[in-house]
Amino acid sequence: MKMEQQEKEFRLNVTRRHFLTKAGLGMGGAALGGLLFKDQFIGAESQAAMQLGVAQFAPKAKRIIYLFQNGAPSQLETFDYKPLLNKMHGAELPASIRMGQRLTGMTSNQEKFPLVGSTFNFAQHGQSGAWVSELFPHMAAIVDDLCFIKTMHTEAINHDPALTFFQTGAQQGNRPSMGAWMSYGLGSENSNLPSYCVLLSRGRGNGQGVYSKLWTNGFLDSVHQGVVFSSGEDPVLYLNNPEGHDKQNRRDMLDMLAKFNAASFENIGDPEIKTRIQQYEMSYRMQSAVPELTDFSKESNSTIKLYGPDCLVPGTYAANCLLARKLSESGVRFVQLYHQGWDTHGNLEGDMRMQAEDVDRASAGLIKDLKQRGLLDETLIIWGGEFGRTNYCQGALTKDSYGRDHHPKCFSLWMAGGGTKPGTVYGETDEFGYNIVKDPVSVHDFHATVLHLMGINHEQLTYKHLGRRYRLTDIAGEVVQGVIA
Amino acid sequence: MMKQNQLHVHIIGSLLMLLQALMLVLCIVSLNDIPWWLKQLGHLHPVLLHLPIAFIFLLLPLSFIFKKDSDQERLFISYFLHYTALFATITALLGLLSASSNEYDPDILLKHKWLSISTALLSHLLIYIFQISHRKRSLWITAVSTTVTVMMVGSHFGGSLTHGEDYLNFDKEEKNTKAFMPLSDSTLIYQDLVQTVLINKCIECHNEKKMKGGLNLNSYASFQKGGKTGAAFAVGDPDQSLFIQRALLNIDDNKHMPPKGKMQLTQEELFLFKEWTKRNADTLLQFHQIDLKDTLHAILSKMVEVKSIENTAKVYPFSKAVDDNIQSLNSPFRRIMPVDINSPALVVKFYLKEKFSLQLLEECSPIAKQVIEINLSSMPADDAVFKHLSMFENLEKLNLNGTMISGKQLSSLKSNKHLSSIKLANTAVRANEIETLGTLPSLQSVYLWNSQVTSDEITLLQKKYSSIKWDIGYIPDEKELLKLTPPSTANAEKMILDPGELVQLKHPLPGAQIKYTTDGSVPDSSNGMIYTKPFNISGLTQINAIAVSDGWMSSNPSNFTYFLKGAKVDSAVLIHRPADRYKSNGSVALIDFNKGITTNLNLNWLGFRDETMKAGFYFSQPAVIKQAVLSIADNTYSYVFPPEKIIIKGGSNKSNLKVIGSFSPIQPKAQRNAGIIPITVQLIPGLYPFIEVEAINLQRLPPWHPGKKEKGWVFVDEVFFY
Amino acid sequence: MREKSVDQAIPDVVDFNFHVRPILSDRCFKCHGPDANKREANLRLDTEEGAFAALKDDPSRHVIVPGDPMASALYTRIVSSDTSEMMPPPSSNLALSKREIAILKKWIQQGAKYKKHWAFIAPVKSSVPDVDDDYNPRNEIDHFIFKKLEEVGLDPNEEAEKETLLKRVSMDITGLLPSIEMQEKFLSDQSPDAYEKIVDELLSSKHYGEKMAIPWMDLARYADSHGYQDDGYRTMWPWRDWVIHAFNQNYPYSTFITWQLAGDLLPNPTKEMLLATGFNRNHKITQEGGVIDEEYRIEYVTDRTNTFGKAFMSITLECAKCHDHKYDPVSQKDYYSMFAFFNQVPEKGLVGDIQLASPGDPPNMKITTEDVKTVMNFINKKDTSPVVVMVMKDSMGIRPTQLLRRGNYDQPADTVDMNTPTSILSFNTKKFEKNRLGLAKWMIDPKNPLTARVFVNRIWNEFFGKGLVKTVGDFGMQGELPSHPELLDWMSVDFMEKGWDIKRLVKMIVTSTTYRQSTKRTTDKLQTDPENKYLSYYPRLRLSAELQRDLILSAAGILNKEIGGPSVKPYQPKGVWESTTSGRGELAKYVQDKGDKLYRRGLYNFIKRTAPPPALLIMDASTRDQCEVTRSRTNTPLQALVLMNDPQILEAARVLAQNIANLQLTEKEKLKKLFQLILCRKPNDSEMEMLQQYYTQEKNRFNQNKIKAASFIKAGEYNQIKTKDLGETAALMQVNQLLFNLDETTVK
Repeated sequence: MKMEQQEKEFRLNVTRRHFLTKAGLGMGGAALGGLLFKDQFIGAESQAAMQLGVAQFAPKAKRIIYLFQNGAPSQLETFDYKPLLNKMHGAELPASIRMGQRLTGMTSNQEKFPLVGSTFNFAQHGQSGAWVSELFPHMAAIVDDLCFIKTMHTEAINHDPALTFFQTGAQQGNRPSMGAWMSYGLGSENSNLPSYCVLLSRGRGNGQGVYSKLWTNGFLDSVHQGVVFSSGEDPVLYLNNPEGHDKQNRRDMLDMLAKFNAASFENIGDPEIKTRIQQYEMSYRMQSAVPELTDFSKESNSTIKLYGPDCLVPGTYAANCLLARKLSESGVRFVQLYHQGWDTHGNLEGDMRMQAEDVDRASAGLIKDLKQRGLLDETLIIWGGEFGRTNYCQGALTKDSYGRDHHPKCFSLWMAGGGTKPGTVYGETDEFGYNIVKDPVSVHDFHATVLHLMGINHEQLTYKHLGRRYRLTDIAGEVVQGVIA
Repeated sequence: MMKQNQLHVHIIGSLLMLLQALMLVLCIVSLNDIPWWLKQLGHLHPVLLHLPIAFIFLLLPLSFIFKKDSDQERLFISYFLHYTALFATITALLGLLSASSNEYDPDILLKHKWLSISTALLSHLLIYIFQISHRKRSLWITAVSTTVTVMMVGSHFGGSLTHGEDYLNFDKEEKNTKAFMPLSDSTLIYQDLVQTVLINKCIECHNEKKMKGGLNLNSYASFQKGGKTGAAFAVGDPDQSLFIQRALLNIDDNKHMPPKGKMQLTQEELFLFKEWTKRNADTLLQFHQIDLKDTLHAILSKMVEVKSIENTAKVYPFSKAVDDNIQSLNSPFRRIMPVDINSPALVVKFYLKEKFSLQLLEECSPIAKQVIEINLSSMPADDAVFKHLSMFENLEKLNLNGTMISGKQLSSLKSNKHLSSIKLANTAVRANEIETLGTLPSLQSVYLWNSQVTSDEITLLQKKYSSIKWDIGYIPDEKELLKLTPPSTANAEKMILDPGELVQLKHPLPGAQIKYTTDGSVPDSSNGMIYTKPFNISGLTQINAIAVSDGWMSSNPSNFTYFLKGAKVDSAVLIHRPADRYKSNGSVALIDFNKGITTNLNLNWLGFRDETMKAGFYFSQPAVIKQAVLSIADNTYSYVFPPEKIIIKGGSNKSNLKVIGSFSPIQPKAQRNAGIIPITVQLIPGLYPFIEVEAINLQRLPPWHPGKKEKGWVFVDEVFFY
Repeated sequence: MREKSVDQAIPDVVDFNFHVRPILSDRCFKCHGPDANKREANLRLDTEEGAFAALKDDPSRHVIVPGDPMASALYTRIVSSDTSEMMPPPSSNLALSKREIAILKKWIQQGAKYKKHWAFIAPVKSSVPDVDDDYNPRNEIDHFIFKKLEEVGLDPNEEAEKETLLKRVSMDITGLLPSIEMQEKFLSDQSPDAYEKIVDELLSSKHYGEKMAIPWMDLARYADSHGYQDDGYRTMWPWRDWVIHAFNQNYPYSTFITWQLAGDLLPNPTKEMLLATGFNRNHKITQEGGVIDEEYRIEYVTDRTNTFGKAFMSITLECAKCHDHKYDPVSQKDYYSMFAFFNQVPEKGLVGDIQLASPGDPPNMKITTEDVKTVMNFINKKDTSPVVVMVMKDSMGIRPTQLLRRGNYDQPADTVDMNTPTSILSFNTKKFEKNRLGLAKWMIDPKNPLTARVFVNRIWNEFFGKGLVKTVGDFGMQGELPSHPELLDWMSVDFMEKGWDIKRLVKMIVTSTTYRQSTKRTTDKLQTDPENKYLSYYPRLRLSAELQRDLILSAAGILNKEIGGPSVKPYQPKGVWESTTSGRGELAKYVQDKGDKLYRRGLYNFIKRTAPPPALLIMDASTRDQCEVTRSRTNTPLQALVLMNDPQILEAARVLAQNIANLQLTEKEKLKKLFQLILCRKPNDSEMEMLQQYYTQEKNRFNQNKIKAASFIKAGEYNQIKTKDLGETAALMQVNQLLFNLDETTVK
């Protein structure tokens, strides 16, 4: 019997460890019972091929900040320099290049496909000699910290499916998002904060909306759902105590609550009650952990200049970059930003200028800030959109304005820190910027690589749901060694 | 010629003195603070040691070769002796340097150390003995042979250190650790796993050759039989099983197994032993017989992984900490995580300022050995933190960003000889205080952004300690002037104020000043009022405001339009119907004080195109009305223009009206950004129970517009009367 | 602990369905299953022929030799230690446990009998087992349940306290708390059928339909917006009103689903039948300019097909969209044969982008005030303008359906005919016409093995928190096996025999002794039956998101019990819609409703798919993105924050406090009344003590700081009720907050 007891306890520890890290929940005797039981008795469905809550091998990156450029920035005006397009400006896209690639409803009935060169100048920068357009002077200044992938390609050609594909690994259906998988696989570092936070901003360019499906927990436990931080007075929904109610009221209420609940546990013995007590304690801690991070009033002048003055205006991209750093620094595994406004079907020049103005300084600032705090090597930054844009003009090509339609066959993004190879340019597109000629990287490959950097084998991070074992990388995905340091 | 030789011998002689002195010093003082490069030299020890051994062996034969008392003899031997002593000393020295690393059996090490040192001393002594002894050969021979013996014994221990204790028992085959076979369903728990662990960690002392404690683990039978103290395990009962009890003893207990200094059992291996014994120490038990959901299953898969990926993962000179220690230390305020599932190395992080106390750090002592990273960033930790840091002997990364430390105690980090990165951003540390870090053996990077250290000081440090990256981070360029963000209002979306309600402007940059105008002009250095406190408005007010501050470029102007609630309208009627898609909540929309927004014309707006906008307003107790203000939408991209003309009629009722005012707004000359425009129409002052407002939408869009010649839209969301 | 649990024993008679197939399915079918393309070594274990066949590379040996494990390659390979021989291959991350191997061995020894998957065999009534009368079985349910308990050596719990029971059954049937009157009536009524009387009263309440509608909304992925990123407004709410009506009218389940599937195809259909078909138009519809029309049209048909499979048959059809099903006997061809039924709608992938979006793309029906006055008076239409509702319609002439390679709309292959998987029930074209109506008839054919089982199981799941088949959405081979197969079959057959009578089914469940047990659990029960699979006690369940809201509002007496109508927009934190929208469309901005619309039941909360109501979502409500048949039941800190800080709940606490404060009662009586209103039982002494202690403490605090008290009781737009003593009111409000947050309050 004694052994039985020990035995049981040992298993408790194992499962406990497993669950706590898994759900990133608080410790302390009370909760354990609850969590444990939940885990042992209901967990059967969720058999993963790895032990949850801890990296499988030494992770290069501990945290991720994903600067998603929603609407799809044109690779041809950012990082993929194609002088040929300027030479052939106005000439028809050769059929041999297009090869019957399907088109969106916006250009499918267009009878001419005139090539357009970038109106912005490009130059090489840094040791790596990476090409960057004049729109991004601050990014250009740090190219040697960046790792460009020029050969991303995706399957979808419209925003909703493409975004959904990038965030969940599938164009349709309610699959868990990247951050949710991350939280499920690695748990949170700081149990007083959500392990997966979402920050939203809107640029001045043509916008495409976002939707909660992009940060959904899908069929995973809802503790893994992305928590949206709003620029309003409640940084996290329902976080603030009501008016006329202070920390002391709350503390006393929680204590009394615990007394009542403990009593009902005594005569019913339902472990869920204990879990519940613990959850209330956690919410209480969250109430002090979050405001500390969302208060920007004490930021130093040098920080403000690093991110740009609008970092003081809540809800701007710059403010979100700053907040992202603070969250990440306090142990949030996955911070997901979305910045709208890159959908440049027309008036590309004007829109791109405004968008670049909003993101260039802050994006570079974030990298520098992490670097100067010695956090860049353990934080993975990703900057990019859901697909690329066509090398031909959408609508009539006039001398002072042009636009580009959606293009899934090649586009650029960059990563920095977190074990990526700095000062790298990976992959090669053809001189038309239309097809990939070397080292293609699919969205699944991208996911596999990111998971790898976080110390997870993408084939083993699985969840069994309605009879099938699911993965972020679905049934594909190869780790791209070329971008790993 | 003789002279030269004398000189030569003297040089070696004094060098010898010096080195031996150094040698003696080194073996007394602790070896913690040798610089790493010296350590590297230590690696030459195994190479050099062969010289003195050879030389000393040669001594005896040599002393018989020469003609007795011949000059050649004296000359040659004294040379030879000097070099022997020299090599012996150097070898000993190097030995001492490399000895610090704790991977060796301490007592053997000790023996080797002293014997080798004596060898060096003796060989030195021989020089003098030779000089006085050439008459009494017996003395000379005894001296030499003692030296030889001491040397031989000493080097034997040396050999044992590197090649394992019994590498001179020629009958025994080379010992090396056995890797687990990859798990398969048929894996035999005893033979493939338990045995492997025993072979790797126990059998060295418990084999049929040397059965320490009478225990031989080579066969199941002899394992079960056990040793002096009885059976090694009790079938089915781990509690009563000796080999488990021993492993569970405190490491310092001399009954603890494996003994201190030897490779210890990991948590998993121990658990395997427990489980296997519990399952009746069954030799036939196979892996597939263990349920998937069984902890043992998980543990085993884990163990075997360890072996398979060990080579890729970083290997640490310590074994895993006790899981329960980690668990009991884990809390929402102190998070302890392994680097990865197989790594013994731990990372400790602290969260929640108000819960922090140094005690939280102090309590980590049980796992101090395993901790390679500590993160205290933004915790209220002061200089007192340093006295607790020394116990983390394997600490590699230390994050003190944003703590309250002064830097005075940084020198005490000396003992953390593996420290490779220290983060001091956002602290008060100064250059003179951080200099001490330069001497840390393994340090690679120091982060000093926003500390008291200036860039010039950094450059100096960087010169002085070039192997370390001294990072001062981003320093704003004073010359670079950035544009401030425009001022905002307390609640931007509220555009309609009650009489007496105040307008409040604000700017997020501390110390920024707001200048504003209400006359439509753009404020600048010369023009505009300085905002000090919320202010009152009378009627429709358009505010232009900019923010200014030294060291910054003044912001673009922001403009806010405020409507003041005017004369009370009792009800409104729509004389012309708005377009179906833009009918909002009907006539009420015009007087409900709900503003529309430019981005969403479906909401609160009434839109007219086929017909002009035409509505009537009833006043039960009319006050004198002097002007009317229409709030209209302006969005040229979606064909929404200011009205061509506004005609306002007034009178006692619908059927009895006269024109009391009219106005034709200026039309846009090109596409422009959407906005809300208030249009004021001056009226013949008077008491009007009923007022009719007609806004005629643009009948032909201007030629520059894509929709030229088409009708324009007119959108109205509110009408005010003053 | 696990070792001790009852499911570990190896049965004397190994049953293929219950013991063997789960193993084969989960560990072997991936490579040796129905999917022809992924099949290894041309060996399939899902059919008898395949399993008894000779080995391809060694015809002298066979995969399975009935009675002789050692001669059966299947067995020798799974016990093999040779990694090249071993099955499943180590690389697969799949392994067989000791128990599983033993079972397979025994099964082969016993002759390796194959059986059709249990769920594909039509259910038959087995005889009702006798059980000890001391357990006081009230109906057949109890007989089956107690029999099983006997077998596993557990006793059922005693009956729950009357108060608890009343709250439970009332929440379960109407989703509302029993009124104080009802409580008193029930507690004082000592007659043996007191409980039954209450049940009948509840079943006749018009709120029963609302309660039953909640899970149906998840299943039908009902929402008030079109979904996808430009998320325009849609008006499907009249369909929702119909569902409530249908439950209240207690339409037979057969009618209920026939109308929803094929109301439009019935001989001269009424408008009501037409409205019912809205079910199949609840899927998301894109308004993103520039999408490829066909790509999305296919997406809609796919959604209907998958929903059909999951909602009515609990079969994961979608797995066969891109390739033959890996586990269940559903080929890709089968999938598209089903697909064909739903592929006949005259619809477009994109009707208009968000700028010209309509609340109902064609085909649709207009519901006029006239209709509401006459044929459809269950629709709660507010204004005079007609409402557009999307409904089903088949185009003239049949649109040919092609199998789509890898499920891609632009890779059509062979044309397929409308049909159903024969493995379930072949589609007899003499009996069933080749359209959705035929499909509906096929569904409710007594020989259809799934329809009744699936529904009975889902209802069971509603009342016991877990289905007799735990995987409510998957009756396939990867799904869990029924914990009480005989009971499930008995109830399913009985359900059909009694004319698919839903209320009768519900009544049978709630009047059973099993349902009436207390929730107490002993360690022994926890160990023997960790999941409470065998129901030796009533599972304590947290109320669904909507019901928590309803409970609090009704306890506070401010619930607006109006039924149906356009969805409402109660309090919601700023920016939830605004921060996600592209800025286009009328749902770009959340315009909160006013007045009594704020106090409607959770069921009527406006659901914008791209930004669902956060308070509900945090409480595990469905996003309505696609058909969901179960909700997860989690326990998170965000939920605590909602219950503590949601203005809706604070307001409820305040109004209740003000009303109580004005009663002519002693302090003690007031607290007692609050407790009773919220928890539906009288507090015991220690609880009373704690309450008073808390109340006094808060009262003193607020008395010292009247300003705080004043701002505290500002909560909500509900008109302020004057009270004498500010401190008292604030303290009472605080007490309400405490009670609302009790664990007991939000569970049944």
